[in-house]
Amino acid sequence: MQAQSKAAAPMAVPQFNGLRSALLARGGHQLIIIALIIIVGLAIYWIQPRFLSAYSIDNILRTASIYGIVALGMTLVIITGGIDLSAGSMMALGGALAAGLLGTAFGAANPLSFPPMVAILIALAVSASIGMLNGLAISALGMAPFVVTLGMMTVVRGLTFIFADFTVGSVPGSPITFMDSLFSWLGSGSFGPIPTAAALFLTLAVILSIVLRFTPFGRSIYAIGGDAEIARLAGINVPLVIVGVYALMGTLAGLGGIVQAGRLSSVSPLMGVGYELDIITIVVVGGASLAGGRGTIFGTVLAAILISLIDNGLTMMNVPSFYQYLVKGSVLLAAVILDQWYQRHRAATATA
Amino acid sequence: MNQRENHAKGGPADRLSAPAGAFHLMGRFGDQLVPAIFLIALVITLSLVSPNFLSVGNFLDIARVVSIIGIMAVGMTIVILTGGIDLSVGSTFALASVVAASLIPGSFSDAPRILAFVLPVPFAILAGLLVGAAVGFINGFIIAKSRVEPFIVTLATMAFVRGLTYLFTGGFPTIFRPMPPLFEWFGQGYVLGLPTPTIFFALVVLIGVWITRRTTFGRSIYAIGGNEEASRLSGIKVQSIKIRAYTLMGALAALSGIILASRVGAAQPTAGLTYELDVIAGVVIGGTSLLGGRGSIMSTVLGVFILGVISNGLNIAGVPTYYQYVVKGLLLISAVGFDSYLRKMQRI
Repeated sequence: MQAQSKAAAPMAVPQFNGLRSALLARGGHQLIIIALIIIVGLAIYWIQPRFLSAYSIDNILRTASIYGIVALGMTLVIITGGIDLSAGSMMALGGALAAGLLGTAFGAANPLSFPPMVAILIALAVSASIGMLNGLAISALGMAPFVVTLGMMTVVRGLTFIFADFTVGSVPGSPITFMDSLFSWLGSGSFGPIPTAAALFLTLAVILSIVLRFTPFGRSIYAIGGDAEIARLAGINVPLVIVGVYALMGTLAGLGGIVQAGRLSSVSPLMGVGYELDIITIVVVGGASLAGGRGTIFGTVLAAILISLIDNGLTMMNVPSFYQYLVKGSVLLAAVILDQWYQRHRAATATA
Repeated sequence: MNQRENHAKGGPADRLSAPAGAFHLMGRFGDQLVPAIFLIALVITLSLVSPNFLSVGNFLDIARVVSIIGIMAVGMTIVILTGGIDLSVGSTFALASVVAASLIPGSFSDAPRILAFVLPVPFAILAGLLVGAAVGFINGFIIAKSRVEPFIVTLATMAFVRGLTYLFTGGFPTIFRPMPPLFEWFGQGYVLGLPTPTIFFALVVLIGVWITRRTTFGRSIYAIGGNEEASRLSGIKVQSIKIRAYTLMGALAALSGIILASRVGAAQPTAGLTYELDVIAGVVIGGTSLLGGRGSIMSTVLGVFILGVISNGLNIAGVPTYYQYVVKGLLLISAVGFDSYLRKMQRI
C-alpha cells in the first residue's frame, strides 16, 4: 500500500485514532488475518487438542510453504493487474523436470542423469523461461493474461506428461518416484527446528518484500498495476517489468513443485491440477486486488498460513472433504466482502 | 490518426467504433472474419491430412460434442460481454445434473436419497434448470450488490457449489434403472437426423443472438461492458442486467449438465470439472474480449467449433492425448495472439 501511494497514486493518507481507526489503517487487513489465524487455531485446538502437536504444526508449515512459495510469485503478478493460471501446471513441470533429470526414478527408463543441483537449476531455468514466454505474449501482443496463461496451462500440462513418459517410459501417466537426499532435505528436512521448506518460504518472502518496497522494480510493479499507461508515461519500461514478473512467477512455481516433489519423493504428472485457483485464493485473502495495484507479501504469507490451517484443521477434525469445499468457498467470499467493506470505510474516512 | 489513437487508448468506447485503414475487411463482420478464416483453414488442412475427417457422420459428431460446451459458451459470452466472468459453471453443471437426475423416475444411487420423491421427466428437468438459475442468480446478486470482482465471487461459488454437489450425492453417481424414454431422448435422441444436443445448442444460439441483437437487455449488456459508469448514468439498471446475465448463465450451465447426464446415462458429482476453462477458451478464441463490450454470440459459435474441430482432428489423426494438450494450448494462444496483433495494427 505504501509503495503504491508513493509510486502510482499519491493520495491523502488519513490520520487514525482508536481501535476502529487502527483496523482501518494500513496494516488493518493483516491484523484481521492474524486475529483469524489465532481464532481458528484455538477453535480447532479446543475441538482436537492433537492439532497443536509439533508434528501437526510442522505439517501445516510445510503445506503453507509450498502453496506460499508459489503464492509469492502470484502476488507480484496480481499486483501488476495480471493473473497466472499456468501456476499449477508449472509446479508439475518443475517437479517432474527436476525429479526426472536425476535419472534415479524407480523402475524407469531414466535416459538422462544429472547431479541433483544441476537438475534443480535446469528445472528452474525452464520454468523461468516459460514464465518469460507468458510475459512476452502479454506485454508484446497486449493479450489478456487470463488467456495467455490459460493456454500455457494446457501446454505445460501436456509437456509435463510427455516428459514424465519420456523419463519413466512405461505406462503413460505414471508418476516419477525417486529418492534423493537434497530433495528430501528440501521437502521433509529441517533447518534447526524450522522445516526447510518454511525457511525457504520465509527467506523468499523477506527478499521479495524488500524488492517490492525499496527497489525501482518493486515500485514499478505497483505503478503498472495502478495504471499501466501512466506508468509508461512516467518512464517505466512496462514490457520489461511484466516479463520479469512472469519469469519470477514461473521460477517460484517451479520451485514450489520441486519442494512438493521432495516432500513426496514422487511427482505425478497430475501434480497441482487446480492449484492455481487455491493460490489465487490465498493471494486475494491476503488482501491483493485482482484489479491490480494493491497487495502485500506479508498479507500473502499470513493468508497462506491461514488457509493451510483451515485445510489441516478440517482434515484433523475428520470433516468430510465435501464440507471443506463449502468452507473454502465461504472463507474466500467472506474475506473479499469484508475487504470491500474495509476499503469503502477507509475511503470514506479518507475523504471525511 | 493521432486522435483515433488517443481515443483508442483512452477508454473502452473505441471497441464499438468502426475500424479503418488496411483492415477495412474487418468492418462489419470483423469480429467473425478472423475466427471464420481460421476455422475454414483448419477444416481444409484436416481434410487433406486425414481422409476420414471429411464426412457427414464426423461433422454431426463434432456438432454433438461441441454442444455441451457450446450451450454454456453462449451464456458465458453474455456474462463476458458485461465485463464479468463465471468460473462456477462447471460446478453448476454438476449440481443441476445430479438434482435433475435424482428426481427422474428410475434413478438410482448408492447414497441415501436427499429428495425422497420423483417428478415427471419435464418437471425434473425444469427443477434442474431452476437450481442452475438459482446459483446464477446468487452469483449475479453478490456481484451486482457487493461489487467484488466476478472472478473471485464465482471462484468461491465454484468451490461452494461443488461441495453442495458432493453433499447431495454423497460422492456417488446417479444412474437410471431404466432410463425413461423421454429423458433418454433429451440427450441421445435425433430430430430430423440431427442429434438433440445439437438442436438445443442451435436453439440456444438463436435465442442468444436475438437477445444480444434485438432486445434492450442485449444492448444494455454491451453498454455495461463498454462503460459501466456511463451506462448507469444513462439510465441502464446495471445491477438488474448483471443479475439477469448470470442467472441466464446458470440456467444454461444446468441445461448443458442435464443433457450430458442423459447422453452418458449417469449424473456424476465430478461432472464438469474444469469445464469453465474450456467454455471461456471457446468464447475467447471466437474473439470476444475479456474486458467486456466487444464480441458476439456468433463469434463464440465459431470459437467453440474451432476447439471441437481441433480435438476431433487430432483424435482422428491419432495424436496422443498429451500432445493434444500442447497443440490445443498453443492454438488458443496463437489464435488470440493473432487477433490481438491485428487489433494493434488497426490502431496504428
